Amino acid sequence: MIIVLPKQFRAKDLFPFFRAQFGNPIQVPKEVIFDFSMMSFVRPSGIVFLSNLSRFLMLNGSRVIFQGMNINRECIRYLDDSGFIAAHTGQSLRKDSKVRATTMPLHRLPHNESHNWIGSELLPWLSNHSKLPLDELLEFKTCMSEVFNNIVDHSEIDTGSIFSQWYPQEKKLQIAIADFGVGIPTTVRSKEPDHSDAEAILRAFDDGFSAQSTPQNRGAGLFYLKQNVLDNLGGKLTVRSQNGAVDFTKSGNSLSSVPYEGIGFCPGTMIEIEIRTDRFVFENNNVEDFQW
Amino acid sequence: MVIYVKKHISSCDTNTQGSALYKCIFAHLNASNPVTVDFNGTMNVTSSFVNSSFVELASHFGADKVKRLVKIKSANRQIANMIKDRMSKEFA
Repeated sequence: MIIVLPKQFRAKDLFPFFRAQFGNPIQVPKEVIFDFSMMSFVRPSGIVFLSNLSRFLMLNGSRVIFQGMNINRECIRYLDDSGFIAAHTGQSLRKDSKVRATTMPLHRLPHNESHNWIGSELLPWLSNHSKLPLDELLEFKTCMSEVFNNIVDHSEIDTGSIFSQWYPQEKKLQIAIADFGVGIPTTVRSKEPDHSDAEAILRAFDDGFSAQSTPQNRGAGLFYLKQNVLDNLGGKLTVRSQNGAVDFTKSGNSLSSVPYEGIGFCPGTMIEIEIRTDRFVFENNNVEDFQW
Repeated sequence: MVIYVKKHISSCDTNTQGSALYKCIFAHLNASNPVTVDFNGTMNVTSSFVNSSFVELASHFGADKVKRLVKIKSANRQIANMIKDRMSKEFA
């Protein structure tokens, strides 16, 4: 099977695109050739989405080949510098390929390394670009750790793939994280079987909802992530898993959750986080004297 | 008695680390002795960490006893908010 990738290389476009290619239910071909010749626009979510899908196909016995990678095109050079090509083929396309200052390259992180990496790599990198001190990024750091704790709670493979892009003019950070777990819908339906995929994603982000996949799980982590990204970090959140997706946004004081059902396919779970460091809002800054 | 969190665990991100703090505090509460938990040098805590430490202690001893005997020190904004939020939601 040859798949000519769409012009817009981002999860929003790839999610429905692959559903159309692989059918419903998903049929894994013996060989998949991804053709990049039409691609012209790359976003972090596209890099992580295709990386995760490629590994999913390989784990299910498919041979994955990349073609149409013309290094004279900027989008291909960006993809090369992102670490995507080296991660999947073993080497970069160009000898002078290097990570760009405004990106954290594609990285596969086991859970036991994730928290340290967030604190020692991601946070200083963001602090350097945003010019915000580390103590203004504590809620962001916690959000990222909550994502990786969620992966280890709900995935038989405790490794997540992550890619980050900083947009200096907009003071905007986009991060995409994906895992190979059973997917949020499967986990939620183990407790509440009647939900569709998108409904299950919505339910997973409700305060206090837990599938109790571990005894200590009390349904606080994903709610914390949603609440902080929308309320404190000036951002938005998109979650895709299996055949469902949900966009979480905030406009003024109004929170919005828009579910999408049956329009695409995502193996495991993929979370896209966007934050704006010029829109951070926090209360209660001085809490030296803690009172219960 | 003061428990310096940093002396016992490198960070406060996981259930396992929360359980480690739980064990440090448990004996003091079991003997009904006051204890101060000092977060100096700790950047942040996750919900999993708080669930496995303070929420578990409150489940065992009761939230009132934990609040009466455990004093929290050097908690920054994020740490204070997370502990208060988790405890208030579990033991409203």
